[in-house]
Amino acid sequence: MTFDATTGLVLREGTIFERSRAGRKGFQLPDPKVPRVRPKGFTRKAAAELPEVSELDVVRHFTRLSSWNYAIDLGTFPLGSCTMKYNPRINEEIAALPGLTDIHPDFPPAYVQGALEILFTLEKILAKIAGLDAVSLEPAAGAQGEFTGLSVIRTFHERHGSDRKLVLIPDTAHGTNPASCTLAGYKIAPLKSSQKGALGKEAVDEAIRTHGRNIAALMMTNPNTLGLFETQIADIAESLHEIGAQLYMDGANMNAILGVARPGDMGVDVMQYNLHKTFSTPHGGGGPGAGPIAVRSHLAPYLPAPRVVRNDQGQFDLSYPEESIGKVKGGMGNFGVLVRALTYILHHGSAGLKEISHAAVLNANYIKRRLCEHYALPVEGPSFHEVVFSDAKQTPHGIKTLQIAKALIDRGFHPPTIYFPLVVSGALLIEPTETESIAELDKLIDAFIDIAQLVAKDEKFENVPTKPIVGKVDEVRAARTPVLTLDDRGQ
Amino acid sequence: MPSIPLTSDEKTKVLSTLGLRSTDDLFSSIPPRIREKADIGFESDHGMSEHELRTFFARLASRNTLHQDHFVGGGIYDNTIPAIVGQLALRGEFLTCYTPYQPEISQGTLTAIFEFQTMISRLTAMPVANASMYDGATATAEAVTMALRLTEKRDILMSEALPPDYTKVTNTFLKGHARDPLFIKTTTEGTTDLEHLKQMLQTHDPAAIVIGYPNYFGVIEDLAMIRKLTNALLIVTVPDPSALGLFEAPGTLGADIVCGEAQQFGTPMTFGGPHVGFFATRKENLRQMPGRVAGETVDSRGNRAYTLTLSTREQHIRREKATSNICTNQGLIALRTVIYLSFLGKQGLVELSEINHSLFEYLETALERRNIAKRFTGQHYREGVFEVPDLPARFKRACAAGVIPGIMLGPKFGKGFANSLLIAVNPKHDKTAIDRLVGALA
Repeated sequence: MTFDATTGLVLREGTIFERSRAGRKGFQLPDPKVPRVRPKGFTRKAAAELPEVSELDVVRHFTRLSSWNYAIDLGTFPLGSCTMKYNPRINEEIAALPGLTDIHPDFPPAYVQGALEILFTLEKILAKIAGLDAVSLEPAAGAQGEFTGLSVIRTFHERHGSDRKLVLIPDTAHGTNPASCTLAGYKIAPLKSSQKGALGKEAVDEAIRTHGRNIAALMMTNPNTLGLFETQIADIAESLHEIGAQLYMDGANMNAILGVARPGDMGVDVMQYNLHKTFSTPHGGGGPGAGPIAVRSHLAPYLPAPRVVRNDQGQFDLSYPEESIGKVKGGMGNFGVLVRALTYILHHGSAGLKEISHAAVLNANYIKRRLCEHYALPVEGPSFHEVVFSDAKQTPHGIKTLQIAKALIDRGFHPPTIYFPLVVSGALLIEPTETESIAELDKLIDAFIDIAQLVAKDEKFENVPTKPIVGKVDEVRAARTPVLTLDDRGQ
Repeated sequence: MPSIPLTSDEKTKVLSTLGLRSTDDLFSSIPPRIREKADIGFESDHGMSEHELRTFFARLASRNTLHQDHFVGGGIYDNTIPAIVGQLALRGEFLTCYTPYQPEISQGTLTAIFEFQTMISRLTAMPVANASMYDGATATAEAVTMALRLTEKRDILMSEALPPDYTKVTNTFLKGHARDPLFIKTTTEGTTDLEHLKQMLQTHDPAAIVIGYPNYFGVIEDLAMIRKLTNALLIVTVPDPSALGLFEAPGTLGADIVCGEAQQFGTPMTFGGPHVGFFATRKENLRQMPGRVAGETVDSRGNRAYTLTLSTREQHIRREKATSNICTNQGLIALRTVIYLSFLGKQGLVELSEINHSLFEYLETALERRNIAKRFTGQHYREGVFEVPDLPARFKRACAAGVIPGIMLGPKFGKGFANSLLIAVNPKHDKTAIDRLVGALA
């Protein structure tokens, strides 16, 4: 059996500062053709020690660095709840149009009609996909969408004279959910999922009996982070609405249900999208993303301002509703990311989006079927776009999830999400996405099986991974003696 | 379907492996009353080809009027971007990788983050910096909430001369803490009013004081003097870090947190995002700092290696007790910043700063000659407020002549600013462009 990872020619490289030579000049700035003057006061005494390198130095340095990264463009990236799908390059070409990059949010609306139309169009489409009434594109990422949604909910309650303090959060939630609650001024009350991994209506009703009208909202992810559809969500929504509480849905896993089920029909009042997941905008090593929120009409007045509006003549303009929560980010959201997402959506059309979810869920179930003999399945029930395994079959041999992950690296794959969700001990959360072919999935599956079989033969996987440019990284030392800049070295 | 490689044969085979008749069966756990309604049909049901997309977006892009020149700044600045920035940042290994949680296969991104942290630290003269925030506005808001955690005090004093978006975003964040900031007035110099600050300090013991440097009016604040007045945390937000080529670094002048916006270092304006916020502070505040950080360490073979570190501050570990909810940040834009600043270099940054400053001085003299005076008298850098008689009409005329002359401050700051125009220069301008602006406004 052959695997994809090998050790080819990999070039070592220091930091860019190690290429620096005093007095070398790189980029040539244009000549302004005005007299050069310097200020008289407040002047800087010592210039910032930036590198002094040539253009070729910069090109070689960053090209070498890039060769040390794993990426979707290199191979399967089955990172659960992150939806690492292929990023079509037409998105990049469109987003780089000068008419879309060389515009300032403070240009008068008359000169940015195209940009406003893009925002207006995307808002309408995202509202349709959600089955909700209004959308704000301002939040910069999923977590900011959560904060924005919670701020909208808080403002809604305040305007209705209700001072609620609690948000309910199931134990399968992403870490951003509770963190966003704190930022929005809420305390959290954790909810236990059922044995089957879903959130039961009983658990919610129990919490309602305990906390009553102190509950501002429930935040749930659907499908949840175990890859299961929350089948009781509509009934849960009813229970919440009876006491005036709101249902927030974390839309991180929307790739499973595009055109199949709409959050609005589940009773959801607010949700956020993660455009860098569901709608293929590149993750870029940790961002930028975009986290638009969609809301039901009763929450629409509180969305961040400005809002894009279209007048009777078809002209676009900005409006500043009085009841808005204000701004959550400068400018008009991560516009460049929004352009990419709209490109992707129009590239596929509404029928295509539905096909995407069908293929994504099929792929996850294919992996589940082929791996279930080799790895333990901690929860039963039909999987959607991702499937969670655990290391339960491997721990008797002394092998844990972390080693399985690192062994996968040596076989040419990015590991799945590990040790999440927290409710599963030694979790391996696999999300293949629709863009992987069966042939690519077979390679990944074979690598997983190879590892499982070796574990069964008591292979210890010491010192994995061996193939990347660096061996296992000493993370304990990094935290104990932090070296966070070049100037920390040797201190 | 452009992005689904599954053939119909494969689909049939997989379905039979799973014992299913159609992919619809995969969704049978969704209650029928939810599934039956799921019609998301929008205008483009069947999707556009690449060619159609190009046509569609070319039309929209053309509905944005790109003038010959513009003088709009206010925290987002046009700049000339070296060709290599876009090309290197588009490499698939940078573009399509994930947050570097698996350090062994993310050394490229991690090394670049370490370099970003080093550059921000040296630029601001602060010992530690994080891997990026969404933008200058959210970085400022995060600085303020960090100050509340560090001091456990209630009040935040904010200069009135901050960029309006920074103030608005900070306000939204503070509402989560049930706080409203207090505002410090502006002097005729365009600086934060230190007499007013002194008065406020007699009745308040604030967690932090927030100052823009340069501020929204393009004026350099006297940070050293502010530092002398108070022991409260001094948050200096830098919407225009190109100023740090000529003007003293906030860290040297006693700042406790220095944050701001690095967009102009290699990233186009893009209607306000994606940009990149930066965040730097003193070492003793490290455990309360929001966002990711990369650290240098060694691997199992004793070689230098990088990894994300100190993550016990972050949401995926600390959940509701985290220092921030930030997860996805602006990684790729931080990378653009590192590439740009590497190529610009130590002397280049000083020169960039000098070019901006010189262009502004030239503009100022030229406008004064046409009886258009600066509103404020303080030390300016690259940007300033000018009092233009009958501004709305002249603004329109200038736009018609191909020049967007700046930002009209009336809508942002009220009646007293009805004729105030914020004009910013950038390295795309030269003498001719400025002469054109002056002609269009006079």
